[in-house]
Amino acid sequence: MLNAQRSTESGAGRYGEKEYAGFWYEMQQDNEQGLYKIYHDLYDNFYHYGISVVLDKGMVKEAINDIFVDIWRKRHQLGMPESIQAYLFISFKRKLYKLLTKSQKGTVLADNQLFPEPEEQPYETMLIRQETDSLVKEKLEKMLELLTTRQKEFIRMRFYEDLSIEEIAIKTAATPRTIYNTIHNALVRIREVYTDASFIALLLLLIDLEN
Amino acid sequence: MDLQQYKAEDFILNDSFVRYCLRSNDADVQFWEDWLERYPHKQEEAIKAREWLFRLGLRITPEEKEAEFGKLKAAISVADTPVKKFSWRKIVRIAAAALLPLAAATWWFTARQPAAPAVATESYTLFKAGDSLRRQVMLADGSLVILNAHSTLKVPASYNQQKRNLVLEGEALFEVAKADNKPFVVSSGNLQVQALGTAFKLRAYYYDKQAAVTLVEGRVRVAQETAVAELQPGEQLITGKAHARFVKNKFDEERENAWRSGRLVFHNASPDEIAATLTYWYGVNVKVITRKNKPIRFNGVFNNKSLHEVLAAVCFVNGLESVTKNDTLWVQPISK
Repeated sequence: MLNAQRSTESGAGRYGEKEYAGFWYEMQQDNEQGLYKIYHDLYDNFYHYGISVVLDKGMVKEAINDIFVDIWRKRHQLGMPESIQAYLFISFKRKLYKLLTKSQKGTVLADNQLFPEPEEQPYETMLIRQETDSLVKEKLEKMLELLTTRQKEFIRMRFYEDLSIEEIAIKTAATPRTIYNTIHNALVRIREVYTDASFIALLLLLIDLEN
Repeated sequence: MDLQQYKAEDFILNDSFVRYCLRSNDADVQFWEDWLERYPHKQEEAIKAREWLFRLGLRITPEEKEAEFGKLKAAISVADTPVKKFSWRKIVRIAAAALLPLAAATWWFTARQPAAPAVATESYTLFKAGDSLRRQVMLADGSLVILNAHSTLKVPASYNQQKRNLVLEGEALFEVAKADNKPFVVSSGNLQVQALGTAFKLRAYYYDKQAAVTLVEGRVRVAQETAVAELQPGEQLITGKAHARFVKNKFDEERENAWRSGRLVFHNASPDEIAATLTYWYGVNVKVITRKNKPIRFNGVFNNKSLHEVLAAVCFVNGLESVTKNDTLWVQPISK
């Protein structure tokens, strides 16, 4: 649901199946531009879904690129799927699941399901897990504990679910002014963590470049 | 609340600002671009707000996405060669250079500001590749441009409506998406190159007396003053920048492919070769001077490295330093 809601607002997924069929055909004629158009159109939706179930940003990005490279490799063997979007989405889910099992080799996965659906994770977990630096993770975790349930809920609704403050007001029966102030207070705390975070990210990158 | 008093917390709670960051409403984009141009001292907090917005929304930033797309392209370009397990890690490292978050964020604010309407009333989006690194630009129709260092691409607001006209200063490679009824034309001064479904490169730096059109695949039509020529793949056309003097020849495909892949190789290179290569690669005029009794040979491989990094290596190994004087980069013995 969330996906559909956000995709319309951010302008992603602007093409329909008819255009997709055209792009797919272009791709099968060895024109990679067709593939690229599909990629740009689906990327945000895929990323959004991926990050909600898998938690690791790097893994999600890798999975998305992987399926597009796979499809390019197999383009001459593949037919025209009935629904290209559905076909790609299922491929993407499978890829995520594969990467996930590979990364948790130690843990035993229930093998009585043919293809278990990855579960959507709570917002806080996602926030923490998207950070790559362990120090930032720790700080963020502590900071989130300091925030009230209400603060976290409003932040999630405003920025993750992309609801307007008025929409949140209708849903939660709080006044827009209260919602505004609650988020504002929370952001002051978030500032401390994120300001450090971007500094560390930059530092890590510089170190990486030097090597 | 007065916009002048805004901190990041206030920016992010402003709905219009959020729509600007997500580029979901043109009027908001226009408003904030103008506003931030007028009040540059507010950019720091605005950049922060934008970063928080992407993090809290668990969204991928446009810069990250562009980097991912670069990796995909690189992978696709080798995907047709015999199957070998492809390593993303390698590409991650290469792409990291393009990802300096602050640089990227700053670029986002500066590079997208529309240029002042110079000739016509039409507004342009200006894409600028920095002084030492190239960048990729994906256009609205899916065409891809690799903009070489030191180059500027002007994209009119009406691009891809009926026509696809671009203006280039410097050098760029164009991979043109097919659209039969919308001609794709790049101009630089009085020189015009029209693509007929294709990948081509146009070089016309302001300091070069000549301009060059290099055709990688497909077909192009080149027009300047009254002269017109068509190129076949593998052909290069050289002409005067001010006036048409068409000369066709074959170009060095190996060198061209190396440029495309971003891999710069020096093999036992002499000072002249170093200068010529750097000039070709980064679009700056380079002169290398050495002491008479100290011959130089340089070896090295650079993957998507900036001019500064390459220069640092060349200078360090040979005891040289680099100085910029009058549009020319002089690489010379360290003065005492």
